[in-house]
Amino acid sequence: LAADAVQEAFASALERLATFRGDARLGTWLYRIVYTKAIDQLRRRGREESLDEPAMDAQDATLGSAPTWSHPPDEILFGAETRAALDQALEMLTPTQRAVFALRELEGRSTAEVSHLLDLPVGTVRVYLHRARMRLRDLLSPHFSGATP
Amino acid sequence: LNCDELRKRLTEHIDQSLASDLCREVERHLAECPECAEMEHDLHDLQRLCRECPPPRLPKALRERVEKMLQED
Repeated sequence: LAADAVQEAFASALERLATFRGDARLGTWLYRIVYTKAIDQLRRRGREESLDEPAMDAQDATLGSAPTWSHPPDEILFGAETRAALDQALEMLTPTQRAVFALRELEGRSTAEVSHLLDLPVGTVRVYLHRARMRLRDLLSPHFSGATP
Repeated sequence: LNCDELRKRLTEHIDQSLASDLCREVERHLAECPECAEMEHDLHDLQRLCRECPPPRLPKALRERVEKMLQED
């Protein structure tokens, strides 16, 4: 899916390059195209239901219930292995949660930048980020706890 | 703040985007509640994990496909 979206986005960007007006940075413009293509593909594959999330309070009631990590993650797994564990956990997020979390935490962009890139209000970005962080904590917690040396 | 209210504010707290009076309330709660403090610690660990992970790489086959498209254009 990701590969298809990236390829389709590059093809679309090449076609539309002449329409790029320079109002945003080229990277921002391209990221929006990739994000839109990825969401389009999910909808075509009938996975748009994952974009509709339960109400904040209902979902939050199930979050944060996992045990805390017994060791800091970087003391247990390193490099590619850690990346694989994180990637697997990221797959469990909804597409929007994943996009928000990746931009904020993996790319180090500010909340305002994420809001601009994904065309979401800042408050909505914070809600998605909160859900993503709590979900990842829950998902990775047993993994790290179980990896006690 | 009770624990449920605090947990909804944790993201803003670790991002340092809370108003100062609310931030003081959150910190007071964290100082008195080991469970919530542990949760905040975990979220900081998650951030650290993300920072220290090697960045994702574009798969070789995809990189070659994109490069081919760019050359053909």
